[in-house]
Amino acid sequence: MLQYDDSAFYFVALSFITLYIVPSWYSIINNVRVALFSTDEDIGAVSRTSAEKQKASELKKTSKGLKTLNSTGFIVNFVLTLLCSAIFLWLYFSVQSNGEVNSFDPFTILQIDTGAELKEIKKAYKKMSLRYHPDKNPNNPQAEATFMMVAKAYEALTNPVAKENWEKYGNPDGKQSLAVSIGLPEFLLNVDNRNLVLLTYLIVMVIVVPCAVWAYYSNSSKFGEKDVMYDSYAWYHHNLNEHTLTKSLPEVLAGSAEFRERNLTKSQADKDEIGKVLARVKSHMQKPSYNHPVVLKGNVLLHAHLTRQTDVLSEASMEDLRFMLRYSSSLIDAMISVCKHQESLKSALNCVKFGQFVAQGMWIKDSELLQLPHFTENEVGHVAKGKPSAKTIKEYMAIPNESKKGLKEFTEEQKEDIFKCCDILPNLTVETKVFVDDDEDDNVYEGDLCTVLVTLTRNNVPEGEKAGLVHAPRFPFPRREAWWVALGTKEGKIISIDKVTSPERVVVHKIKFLAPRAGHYEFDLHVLSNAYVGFDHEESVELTTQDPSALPEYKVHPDDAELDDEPTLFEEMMNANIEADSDSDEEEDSDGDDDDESEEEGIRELTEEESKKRELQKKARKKDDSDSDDDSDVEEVHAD
Amino acid sequence: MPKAIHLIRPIIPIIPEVEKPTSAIPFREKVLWTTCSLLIYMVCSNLPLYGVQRARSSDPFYWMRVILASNRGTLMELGVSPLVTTGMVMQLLVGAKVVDVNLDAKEDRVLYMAAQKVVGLLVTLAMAVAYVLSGTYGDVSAIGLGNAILIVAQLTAAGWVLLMLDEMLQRGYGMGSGISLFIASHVSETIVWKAFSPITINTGRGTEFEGACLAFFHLIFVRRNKFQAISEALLRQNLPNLTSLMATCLIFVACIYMQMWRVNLTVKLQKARGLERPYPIKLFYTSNMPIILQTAFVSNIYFVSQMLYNQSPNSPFIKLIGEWAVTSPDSTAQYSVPVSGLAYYISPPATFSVLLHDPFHALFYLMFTLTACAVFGRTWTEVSGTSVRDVARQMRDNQVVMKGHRDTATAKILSRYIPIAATLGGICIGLLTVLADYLGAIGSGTGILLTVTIIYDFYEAFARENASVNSMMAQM
Repeated sequence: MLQYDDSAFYFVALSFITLYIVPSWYSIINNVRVALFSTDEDIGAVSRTSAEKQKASELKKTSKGLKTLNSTGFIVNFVLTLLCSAIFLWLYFSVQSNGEVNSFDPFTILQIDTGAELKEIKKAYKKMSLRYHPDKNPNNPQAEATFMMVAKAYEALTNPVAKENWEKYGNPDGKQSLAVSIGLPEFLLNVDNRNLVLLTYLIVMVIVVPCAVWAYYSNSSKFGEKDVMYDSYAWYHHNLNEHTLTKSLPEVLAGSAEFRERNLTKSQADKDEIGKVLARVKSHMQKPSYNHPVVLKGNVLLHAHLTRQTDVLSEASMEDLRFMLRYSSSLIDAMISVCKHQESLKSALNCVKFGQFVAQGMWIKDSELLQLPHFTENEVGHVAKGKPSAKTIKEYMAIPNESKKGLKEFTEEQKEDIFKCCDILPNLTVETKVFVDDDEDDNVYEGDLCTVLVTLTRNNVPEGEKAGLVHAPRFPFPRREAWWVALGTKEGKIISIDKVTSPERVVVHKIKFLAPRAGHYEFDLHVLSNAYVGFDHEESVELTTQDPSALPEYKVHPDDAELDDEPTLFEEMMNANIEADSDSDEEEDSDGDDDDESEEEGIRELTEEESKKRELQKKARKKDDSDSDDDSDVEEVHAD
Repeated sequence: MPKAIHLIRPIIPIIPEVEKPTSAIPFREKVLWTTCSLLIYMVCSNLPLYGVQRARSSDPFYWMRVILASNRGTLMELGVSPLVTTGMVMQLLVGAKVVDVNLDAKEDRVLYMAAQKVVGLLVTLAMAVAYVLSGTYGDVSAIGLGNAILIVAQLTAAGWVLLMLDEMLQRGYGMGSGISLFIASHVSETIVWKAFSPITINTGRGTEFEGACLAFFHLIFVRRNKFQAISEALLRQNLPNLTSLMATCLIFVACIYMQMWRVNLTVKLQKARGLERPYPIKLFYTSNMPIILQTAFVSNIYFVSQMLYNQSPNSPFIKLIGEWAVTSPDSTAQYSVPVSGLAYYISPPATFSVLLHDPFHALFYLMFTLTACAVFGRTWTEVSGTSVRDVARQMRDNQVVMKGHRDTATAKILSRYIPIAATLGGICIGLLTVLADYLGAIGSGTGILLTVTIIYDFYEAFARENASVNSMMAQM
């Protein structure tokens, strides 16, 4: 029966606490370091133009400093670690005072250095035994015990038998009985506590553990791909179709499951405010198809952002809007994946464009030029009328800085901002190539897996550098530059749509699809920015597929065709045996000889095997002759 | 003529079967089922058998416990041995064409599976009976007929449960095969226990913890001389020490690193041009099979030698095969170890000092293990249908060719890599095992190697699962 041992339990507890608190303190200190000393670049608070300055300072306020640590996980961990550290210290000192390992070390007892000379040992022994001799310390059990120990220690060091015993078993008297115990507290075994222990055990194992598993499972099962809720996907499936227009998308985004709890209007004041904002943005808004207060509130707030009227919002509504914008990127990606599933190119492109508008805080009828810092409708008008005039942002960027119009009312600094922004805005060239990745012939035949190679080159990014964050002063969070590459048929069906996120100067993206029947085809390739309006590329990709009968037939290499004839290792071994048994060289004969000796069973087995082999050979030859082959077993082997 | 395998047909309806899942099981649920079966296995391997006489006899199978995932005196006494035995027997029978079965035909496959299961059930029962009759739990006359039957029933039932769990996992409810899962968990359990065991032992030297990590903390807190404390935690001989633990980690890392060595061939499908697939040939082409076979081989030699030695300990010929003695009585677990003869030379040296004491033993053990692993690795490709010939034939039948080698036979290219990978991989596996044994890694070299390869296979399956989900999404 194992004994439970309290003092051993202290050490077990101590060890496990150490194993917890060391990494825990490390992570806490690391978190604090990040919160206090992270650079502006780390949190994306860059201010390249003065328009970005406000966003950067906002970001610094929210994602720097000790209050970013104000999350439940961190606080719970911190408190737990403090508690464990306190227990650790208490255990450590209590163990120090009573938990001495009762090992027998004669050198320590004699108060000399380990491995001291015999002379020294004798000297120490004489001194110690004189000091603790019972005659000198009458009625002192402590001294008597010490005297005994000293005698024992002296024996262990001088008497060869005792010394060997001590070295082998740790005790000069020889082997002691083996005491095994377990480092768990003794009260667990106490009869009085038995019911309590059992009950605790039962509660933990039967109730707490399954409940925890269930709670985790039911929470995690709400979220699908990319941590977007399944309910949101369902909502998008319901609301998106090939006729969906960009102007109805704010409402779709507002109805996402992620916002349903937060956007519930609670008080009358809330409702009044929404009504007030609604009146201002109504002219830009499509007639809502849902009158549910949650959808309406989200819709109105988004429109306030898109029409740049956020100054009328209260602090609380501003928070809600920021919350929506924080999730907007991943939710719009989810909307695009739903469009992809519905194979509708047009609605997918609309979703991408909606994402651009959200990033820049502008809406369908606004001029693209509003992306530039400090620009208002007034300047847009000047640019359009001026000479050289510009309608689109690309045209405006092409105009040399000194002859750019509409800058009359700006200060020098503001002008500088605009020129800088023009450098940051993308200047992309797109090249495409269609081919089949094959080492012999890269023409496309029907049924081939052909590749559309799309090469994106960012001309505004210097060689060897990477694209930075998007210049979007109105979007309150840092955003990385990415390009959506979509390939679709002329009928508007999606073949492929992917987000190309690499920040390199030159990015290569491959689209693979099965070539259609022989003929000439034209596809549309769209390359859209995820955050800038007016930089969309559209290209036509031509594909000519040829009839596959022109292809050379698949020929089995003669060596491969003979594979079936090769004997397996076992057959080789068997044949070797047979040959060793009989003198005849020919295999057929040796088989015959063997048959005579073996039982009936053996003959049948062998002959059957032979016939099967022949059959296989025949099949192989047939395959060579005719190109008709059965599809049934194709994917079996190399599908993995 | 009807094939031998068709004899199984009448009893198909009455053998228990796990139904195939009707739809693909999501990954989360797979993890759930795998965890459940792992829990059942863990419980079984810790439940003591009822009706057993605790004889202090030596454990004849201690060597095999690791690869068989068995625990002495518990429901898992048999471990996965019925599964492994069945699998090997069936594979050998088919590989040697004793049982003629065409695994491409659906009907034959069903029959083959059924046959395998029937053999599995019977083997379990037979093994349980053999265990009890051989007197592992005390003489049959001493424990009584009733108890004997009870023990057989317990062992058989537990074995069947394991059989069903394995089938469930293989049917697509879980990840990988049950055998590997149970072996890996068994070894991992041992390693964790040896590191964190709260058992204390007092031999007069003072209280010592069994677990290496706990002992380290204990010594650090208690000893005044911290340097001495650390050196004792690192080097103590009687119980697991930190060096063994670190050696274990080292072998883990080395093994995982070597798992990644591979030659990446590219194949293309002739029917769908442009479709390329990497066809990696790993250094560990046969995975952990060489070491499993080698261990099985050695165990059998041990078993026979021990039996013979017990029959007539004085015959010189039998002494040549192996002489056995019980380990010194002061160690916590008692089992007999070979002390001379062939069995001694093929057993790993117990400690480093033993190694220095008898270098010839160490050398012989090394040579033997490496050779055996190389041969088994090479042979396994033939048995398991992964030899050059089989792979090239499969490729030919599916019109798959090597990219960039139009004029060379596929078989020729493959034969440049596969035999070498199989042989060299076997040697590497053997080398790692020997290294682990020399360093005194916890859970024995074989055990660690098995665990690492199994865990790595799981990891790969996991990565594949993720990739397939992603590509499915990409096609949508």
